[in-house]
Amino acid sequence: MKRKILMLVTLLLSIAMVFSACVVQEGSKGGTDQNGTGDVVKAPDKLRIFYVTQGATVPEDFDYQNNTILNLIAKAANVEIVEAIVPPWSDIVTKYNLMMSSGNICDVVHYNGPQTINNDGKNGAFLDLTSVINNSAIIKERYSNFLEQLKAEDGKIYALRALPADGDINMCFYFRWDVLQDLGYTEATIPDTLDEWIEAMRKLKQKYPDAIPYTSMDNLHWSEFVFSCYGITGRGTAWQEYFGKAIHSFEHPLIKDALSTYKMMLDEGLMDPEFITSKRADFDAKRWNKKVLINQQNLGAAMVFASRYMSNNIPEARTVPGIWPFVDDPRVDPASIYEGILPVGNSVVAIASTSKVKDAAIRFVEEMLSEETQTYITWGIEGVDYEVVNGEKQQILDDGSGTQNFTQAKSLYNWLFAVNTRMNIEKSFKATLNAIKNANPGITQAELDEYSRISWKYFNKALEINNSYPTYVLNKFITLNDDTAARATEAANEALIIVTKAMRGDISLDEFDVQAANFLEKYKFITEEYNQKLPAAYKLVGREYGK
Amino acid sequence: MARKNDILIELNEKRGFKKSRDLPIYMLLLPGMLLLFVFHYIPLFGVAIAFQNFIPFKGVLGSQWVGLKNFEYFLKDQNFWRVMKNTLEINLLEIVFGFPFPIIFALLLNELWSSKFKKTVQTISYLPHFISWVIAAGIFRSILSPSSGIINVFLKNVLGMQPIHFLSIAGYFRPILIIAGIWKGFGMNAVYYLAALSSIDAQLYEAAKIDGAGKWRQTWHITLPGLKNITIVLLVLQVGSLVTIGFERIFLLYNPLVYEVGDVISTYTYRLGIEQVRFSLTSAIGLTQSVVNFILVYSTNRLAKAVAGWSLW
Amino acid sequence: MIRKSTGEKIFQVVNIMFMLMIIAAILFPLLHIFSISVSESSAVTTLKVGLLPIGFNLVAYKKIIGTNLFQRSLFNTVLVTFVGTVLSVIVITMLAYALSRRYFFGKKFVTYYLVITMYFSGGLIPTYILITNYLNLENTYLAYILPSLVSVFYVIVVKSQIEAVPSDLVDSGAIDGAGEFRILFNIIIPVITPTIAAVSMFLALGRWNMWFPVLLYASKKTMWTLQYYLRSIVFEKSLIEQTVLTAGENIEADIIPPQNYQMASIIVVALPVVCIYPFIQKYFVKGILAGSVKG
Repeated sequence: MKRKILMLVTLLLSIAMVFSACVVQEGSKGGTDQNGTGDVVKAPDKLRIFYVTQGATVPEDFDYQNNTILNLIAKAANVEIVEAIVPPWSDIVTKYNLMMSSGNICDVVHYNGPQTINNDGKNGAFLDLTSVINNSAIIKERYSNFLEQLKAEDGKIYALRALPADGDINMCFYFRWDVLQDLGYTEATIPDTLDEWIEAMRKLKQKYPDAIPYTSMDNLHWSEFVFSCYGITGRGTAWQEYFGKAIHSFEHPLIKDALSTYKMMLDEGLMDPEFITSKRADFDAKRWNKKVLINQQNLGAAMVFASRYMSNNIPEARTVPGIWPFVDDPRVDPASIYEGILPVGNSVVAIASTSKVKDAAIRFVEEMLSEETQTYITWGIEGVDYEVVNGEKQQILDDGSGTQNFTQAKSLYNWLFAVNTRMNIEKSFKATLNAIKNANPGITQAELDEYSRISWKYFNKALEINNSYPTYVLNKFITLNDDTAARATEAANEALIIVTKAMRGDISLDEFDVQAANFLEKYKFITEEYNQKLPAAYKLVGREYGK
Repeated sequence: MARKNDILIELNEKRGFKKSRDLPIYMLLLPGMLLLFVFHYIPLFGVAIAFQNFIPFKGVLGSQWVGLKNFEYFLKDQNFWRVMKNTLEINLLEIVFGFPFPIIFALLLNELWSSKFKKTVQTISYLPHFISWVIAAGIFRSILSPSSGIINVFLKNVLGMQPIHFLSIAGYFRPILIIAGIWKGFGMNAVYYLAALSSIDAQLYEAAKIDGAGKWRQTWHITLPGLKNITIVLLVLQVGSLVTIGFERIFLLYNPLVYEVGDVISTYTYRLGIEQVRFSLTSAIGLTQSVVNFILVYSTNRLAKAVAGWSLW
Repeated sequence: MIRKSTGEKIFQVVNIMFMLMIIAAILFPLLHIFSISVSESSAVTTLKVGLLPIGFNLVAYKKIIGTNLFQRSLFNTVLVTFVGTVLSVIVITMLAYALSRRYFFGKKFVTYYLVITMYFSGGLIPTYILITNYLNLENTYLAYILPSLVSVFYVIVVKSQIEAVPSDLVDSGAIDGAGEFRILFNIIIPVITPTIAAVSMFLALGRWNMWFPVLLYASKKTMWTLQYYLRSIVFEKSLIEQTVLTAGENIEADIIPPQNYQMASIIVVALPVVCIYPFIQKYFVKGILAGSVKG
């Protein structure tokens, strides 16, 4: 019997060797086989692309393999998209990692997070685009001001990042203006401070015991409201900038105040006690039906969110973007909440180093930056999605569903043209007004104008305040080492547990201190690495470390 | 008996390779063995990444070899020992509470007078087995929800109690896990015992009745001994799978707040691999688990053979 | 007929009540979910729905069944279940028959070769690389079917059943000069048909409930299966990264409360199996017993 096992092992080992020999051959073949001819070919090159939809709601039935807008762009670049991998939002990390592990990377990769792309680029997965940018008029033109910001730590450029948008604030929230009015609030008395907001929630709970004034969902997603008021970012679980340095939220002097506030809200029933286990669908159910007063969104989305209430049959809802009510304390650093003017976005496009059709991939990326593409993804197709009236583009709205090709374009949002440009938001807000009108047949133009006025007032105010702060760099221009990045994810999970328990009162604040201290000791090296890399990142945006 | 006959014939069987006899057999074996070779044995060489600092893009051959570093890492990691402890504890709870339930169910079912009712109950008891964990977990999540779940609505409206956060309080998580396991599996598990019960010779009961033995004594002296063998076998097998536990049930029900009591090896390695991209570490843990599992299964299998004369292979 | 004593009668009543409780524990959750899925949305959001539906509303069902994605997922699931099960059963029976032979050259090796695969696997990534890079099976049904085609456990089950076939029967075939294939098809298979049926039911159920390979090997929606579809609806989870909603989120005419929709999707996916299982459960019982009865 032993001899048989020995035989088996020997046999398997020999097969392993044959197998690995094949791997070597295949691998070296991929490395040398490059298409560098550069000649213009007649037949379109076949291109495989991977992209993420940024969580945009795309209809269930939408076929990513047959995206009209994408096909138009591809045609202009003389390429053919033979495969478009667009994972469901909840699986993008899994699918991206699987793709990388197979080594069979799509020619063009669009992903959410330059850090990941830069790290994989350093390992050889992506093409250094430096010379590509120099040789391409259009890329050069678009990125001439941002070249430094594109560079990875090793000085190479692995990814083009989304172009800046003039209306972009990631951290913002909307409030239900109609609910406030229902509670007797007027424009003059709209809450300005955290205490006033909590008072409004109390009133809401009093009038409608069934209401859930505030909620979030798993991973503390959208739970930032109170944290942000105390100047704590990343849901109290991550590293953040704080007066020019990097700290973990646990080091923030106000973390315990924030946690006590959450606990108080939970105790008083102002916050949904189910927040930790809610999935997206549960969250939505509450948002639509339980008069959730406040919900985090980026500024653009906050501006147009009423349209989503309309499509969920809540015609009375009016959403207005809010201004963070920071607590009055010198230990709050608003710059760690507001992101300032963003030089480039976090959504990136890279070209696989193993691609056999690099030229085609470059052509495609160039086309992605063209004027035509910008029109396509902002407006759609002329005559179908928009019309030109008096030299100005007007969206064609057909009773709520009037999105047509626009829906297809939407899945391409934040490829390289950022979504939240002022023009885009204006256009979407018009559609929102239209949706409100459709959902409320009796509504007067005056009412709409009034809603429009107050929305824009708050929008402009939020934008102005945001732009008065320096650019936040921690999650945009710092790439942690591979190992540290993995440990940081692990750390975030651990911190999440500690924070949630403290929020719910499962552990006392003293116990929190003990656990937080242990945590900080265990992950000190991450804080150190951030601080070590922060000065260089600050340099990119003209800031100075420690200030 | 046929067995004895077989052994005699086997002794006469010609050893060594015999073309006319063996070739057709090899033809039958070929497709299955080929499939196993391709889909099991070839990937098996991938465990090599357990000894590497595997960087996905560089592949198995391009990554750096680090010896036993990954094993050292997880053996020192307190998270690993936590999930190890959870895995063992949940399995033990399963044995203490989940294991006897089908036996009790089978015994009671067997006592029903109406055979029609008996059959109906039995058929219904199989139902959860046919439902996937995705569905079952969805159902459990829905009925246990603190705000909209029917159990909490009942607690609140009828008993005037505060809602209980079943799935996010560590104390409730394991009981729910065990109950979900019983709910889904007891009907099918009872099949073994019902079969054993039906194979008990009815004359034994008749004889006992004539001797004046009551129902309890009959159960004690005839029924339970009749279940002894199958019980031992199943118990031993369950002990054999102490370090493995169904992935889906936990993966679909847990959340960070109950990691402390509910995170097990399979869910932990899934998160390590997919969320943190630490493939080497995942692989090292997986390999260790396989080895421990194999040793356990092998020894319990021998035990079952010795005690009850039954073995898996 | 022996008269039952009072004690026995009381016990019987208690026993029946216990069984009724068990039935309730199994059926009530399902009934509750079903009721939510067909109730008026106002009743759902106000938590009034208990065991019986309030009002009647099939909007959620109509919407789910009307999507191409659902229809396609259903088609894929049926196809993969059917083809996968048939192929599995063929290969498993062939293996089992060969292994049931008393002796052939290398039998021990083959046994170990099979058993090892039950306990050791290469893990997620190596398998993934093999299937996508070397076999190019991404986005094909083969990627769902082939890797799990051979289940060694069922090989052992079928093998033990074949061994229980009286050897005289087999030998008589052999004496008649029938080849191995003819013995297998003409003599063995007719005898062990119940076992094969049982094993195929288990395999089919496993295939029907499969979703993990879809996560791994499908990059197109056209390759989704029902369970993956359901997972995407019920367990959609937010990522650790900050999700942002894009301005100009499309305006869908969507008036179904998510809860209604979720529950309806659970029911739609569960329904086929729930309807079929009473007719096939006896095979499962046989299969389980076949696995446990061994000489």
